[in-house]
Amino acid sequence: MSQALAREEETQELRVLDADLPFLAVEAAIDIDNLLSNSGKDLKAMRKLADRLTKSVDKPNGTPRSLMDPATLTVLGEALAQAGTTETLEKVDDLLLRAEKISQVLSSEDPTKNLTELKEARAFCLALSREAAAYRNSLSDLRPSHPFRR
Amino acid sequence: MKVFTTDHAKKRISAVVDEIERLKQSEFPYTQPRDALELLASELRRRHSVLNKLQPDAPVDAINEACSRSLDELHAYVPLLGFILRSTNVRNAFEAYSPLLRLAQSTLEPNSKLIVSSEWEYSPFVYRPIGSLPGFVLIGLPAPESSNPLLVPLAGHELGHSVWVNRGLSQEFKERIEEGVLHELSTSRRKDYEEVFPHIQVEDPRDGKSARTTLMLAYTWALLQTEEIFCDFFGLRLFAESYLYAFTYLISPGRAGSRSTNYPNIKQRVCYLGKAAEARGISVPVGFQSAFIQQDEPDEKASKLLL
Repeated sequence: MSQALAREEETQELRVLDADLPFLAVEAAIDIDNLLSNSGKDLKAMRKLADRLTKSVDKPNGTPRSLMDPATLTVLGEALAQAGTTETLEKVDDLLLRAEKISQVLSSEDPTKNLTELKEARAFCLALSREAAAYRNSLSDLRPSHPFRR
Repeated sequence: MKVFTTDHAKKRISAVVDEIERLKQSEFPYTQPRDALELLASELRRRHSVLNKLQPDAPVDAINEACSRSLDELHAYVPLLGFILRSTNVRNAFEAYSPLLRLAQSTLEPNSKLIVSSEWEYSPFVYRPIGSLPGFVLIGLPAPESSNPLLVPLAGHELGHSVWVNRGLSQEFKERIEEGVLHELSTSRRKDYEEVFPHIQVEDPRDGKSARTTLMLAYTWALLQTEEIFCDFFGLRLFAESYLYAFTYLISPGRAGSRSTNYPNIKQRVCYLGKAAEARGISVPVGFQSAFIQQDEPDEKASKLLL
């Protein structure tokens, strides 16, 4: 691993342009399914995603502050909205608090202790995977295509 | 049907891995393309192992998302395999390879790896750093110009994209860009914003889903354009006047139609380049700025506002 990439891994917050994010999020969802069905107990992807979420929110005076860029924040907001929370997440502060809560579930010693929260975290992981991939694909669609190509 | 979905996804990955094994038998002029193939195969095998974690009775939504992501990955990786294969073609300017590698290693990291390929696209390009190929820079240059020495300064611009990512410059600029976009939308473009998006009534465009989407577009375009300007400056810093000659040769006077949202207007780019050259005492070729045409700005109201 290059030094720059190694440094990145240590300090990485959630970034929608990170190529591994869509697959990491879907792997976390699969691992949750396997936990729920007692088919496996691999928590690595969940932990990694939780770590990135935690590093994305700063709390200098107890008030959450986003360390994410606006594109990532938008994708995160969309994923949280799709995760089926009952609360409206219009305000950035609400969104960050919800992200923090999901991060706690994903990094919990025993994620199965609250099944409702774990299922919500699973829905979030799937939605985040889909939204991050959609954003990445939309960027490649912006590239000018060949004038004769369909 | 869901069993087929997973099965198809795994078979598709296996087919690509098999193809990589065949490609590895090719004759490579230097070792790095073969190393890249090995890393890509290893990454795809990992993806396969993640799909193996899907239980036969896994929920349909998880199966669909996982298989959809694996399809995304194949769409991303397969063109890389073609690129790596074409890097072995005798059309490549192999004599330019070592100087470019030295340049990459001195501006990125001493162990950076480079793959250069003659491509059948008229614009030089670079693949963004790929997580599964750490330290690799993949630069494509237009095949019909492979004997043209001006391609080397243009590769400097492409190398700039790798430097941008390697040094985490989007992180460094993100706050300034976000603040700039927020300031612009809430001051000089406020009236236009309210006209184009009358349903969005928030003080802070970070609040509310619709408002965030508008901010995301404006931010993404601004960030991509900043990166392009950086890469122009990087090419200029490395190659001085040569970069300006190369830029003019390949790009002037510019193409018809609305400009790309990912780049500043070409007229603006050459203006920035002129200023940067002046600041560094680099002589600008006579007629440099007038060699380019003004590209059309988008007509569509929302794009016009957010660009």
